[in-house]
Parts: sequence; structure tokens; C-alpha cells
Amino acid sequence: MRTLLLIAATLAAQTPNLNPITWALSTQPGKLVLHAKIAEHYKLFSPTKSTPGPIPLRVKVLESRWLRAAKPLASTDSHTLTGETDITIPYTLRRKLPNDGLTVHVEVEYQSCSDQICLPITRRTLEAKLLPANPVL
Amino acid sequence: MKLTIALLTLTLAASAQTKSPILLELFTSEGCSSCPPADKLVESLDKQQPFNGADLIILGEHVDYWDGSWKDRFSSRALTNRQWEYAKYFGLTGVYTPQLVVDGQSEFVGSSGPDAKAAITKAIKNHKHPLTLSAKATGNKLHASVSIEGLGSKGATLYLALADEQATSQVTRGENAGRTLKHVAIVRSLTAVGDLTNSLTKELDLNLPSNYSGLRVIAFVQDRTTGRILAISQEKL
Repeated sequence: MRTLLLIAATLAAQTPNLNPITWALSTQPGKLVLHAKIAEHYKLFSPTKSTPGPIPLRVKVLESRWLRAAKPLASTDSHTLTGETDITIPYTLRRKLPNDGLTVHVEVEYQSCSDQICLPITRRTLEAKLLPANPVL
Repeated sequence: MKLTIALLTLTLAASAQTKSPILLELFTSEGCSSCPPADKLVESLDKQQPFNGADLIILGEHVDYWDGSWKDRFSSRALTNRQWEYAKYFGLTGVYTPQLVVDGQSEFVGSSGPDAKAAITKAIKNHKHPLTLSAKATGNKLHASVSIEGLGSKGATLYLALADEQATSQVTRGENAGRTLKHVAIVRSLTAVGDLTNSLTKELDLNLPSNYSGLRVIAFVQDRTTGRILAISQEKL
């Protein structure tokens, strides 16, 4: 028998969660609200920080013919987002909404990391109904 | 990143058995903050070769999906595609870094020493077919000769990889900004040489990568259905 030494990480390896962020989109008067539920140990890179780093969260409202969207606002000033967090997208209407409302699509593009792994760029498209009573003209 | 490096003691039974060549593929990126510990683990495995029954053959495969903030000079889309092929073999819904794949049969977080030990211990027990490889560099050309017989596979592919012995990068942007990263066996090219079921002999002339520092030539045969590595051999130039 002989004993050998191997340098190794002592962190117990977690099973990689390859879909660590759950998204929801809702509407409030004058703003769209993205809700991110970020799994434990994972982080998302804030859309409001442009410091060199991984791709920050990118947000795009697809119905630009109807809405003029402002820059998204994170609920924290941190470089990374964890836990449950809201990203707000203020908007103004370019035209009157149809009587039956408008389905708004928001595309999110992001990278995320845990303390053990990093994930590639992920894109999701979310939707929410904007009703005439909601908007700010 | 919170990570504690410690010494893991491995006690292995000594034996006079022939070492089984085992392929360790590390999918990594210089732009990934979780990757440096995996690079260190693989470097350690490469240098120490701590398993009596195993000849660990390393391939550092740098993927390109973390190139947004820091362009990893060793990254390529082809290696990202190879990682996605593994995702299909393993039934994963996506890819991640660092990921270590052992003999095409086990995958786990690339910085996990205990997982590496378990996967290598398991891989040692699997028989590999003998593969003959010879390689010679002349000028900027490499001549390689590869031969395998009696494979008895339903369908496999012979690959030839050229890998830098080692490299160091000073990272100035991205999550690893300010760090000096050291890599071993960095893949510079990976070529599918041909398909086979039983036997194949190939003579190859390849361009050597530019600015390489010590070169490893690795030939391996991979089952196309299961991803298993059936044969492998390495020459160092």
C-alpha cells in the first residue's frame, strides 16, 4: 500500500442546477416588473452595472411599436443579484392600447454562476397582458 | 468564490498491473470565475498521476460562451459544441463550466476532487483497446501515424488532438480580472480523423499550432452511441 496526496477542493460538489433562475413578468401602471427567483448559491449579474465582467442581464421589450421602454432598474445597487429580486422597466405608451389589451413580450438574456459553476448565456421570452386601464399615457 | 483547498489523502493498493489510460476532459474558460480551482485540480492530477492503475491523459477544452468580457485565446465554438454533445450523452438540459468528463462516461463539477477520485477509480476497471500512435514534428508540420485493430464496435470515431503542454494567461478583464491562470494540456486542435467499427490505420500530416510550448499528441477512439472512450494513446513532443 502506498499513500498519495492529491490536492482537491473540499467543498461537497452540488449537483449542478442548470436552470437556476425562474422568471415572471407582471405589469403595473407605467412599468413592467420582472421578478427573478434565483436559486440558493447562484447569482445573476445586474443589468445596471457595466463594469467588465460576465454578460449582465439584458432586457428588451419586443413591442417597441407600442411602448417606449426606459433602462431597467434593479432593486439593489449590487453588482450581482441573489435570492428573489425585481427588475423594473419603466415605460410610456407610444399609442393608445387596443380595447382588449396588448400582450407584451420581454426578452431576457443573462449569465449566472454559483460558487462552483458558471452557466452559458440563457435567453427567455416572458409575456404579460397590458390592459388599457394600466398604462400611463 | 469561497473555496478551501485541502489535502485529500488517497490510499491506493499498489500493484504491478499495466496502467489503464484514462481520458479527462476539462471544459473550462478563462472568463469563468468558478474555473481556476478546476484548472488547479487537473494540473495536480496531470503532474502527480496519483492513481496506480491509471495513466491520466488530460485535455483542457476551452469553451467560448464566457468570451463576452474576456476573450479566452484558447476557446473555440467547436469545443463548446463538443460539450453540448456530452450534454446529450448525459441527458443534461445544458452545459456549464467547469465540467470534467472522465472517459466519456462520468461528468461532474470540475473542481470536485472526490468526484474525480470516484470516476477515475471506476474508469480504471474498464478495458481499453490498444491503440498505436507515433508522432513526429518537422518544421511547422506534424506527421502522425495511428493504428487500431480488433475494436469490435458498432460505430466509433477516431480523433486526434494537439494540446499545448502548458500555458499561463494574465487575465485583465472579466470575473477573473487580475488573476494569473495556469493551464495544462490545452487543446489547440481536435480533428475527427475517421469512422471505424473494427480496424483503422491512418497517416496524417497536420499543421502545428502557432506559438506552442511543448506539444501533446493524443489519439482516441470514441463510441458514437454512448460517448465511451474505447482506446487512447498519447505522445509528448
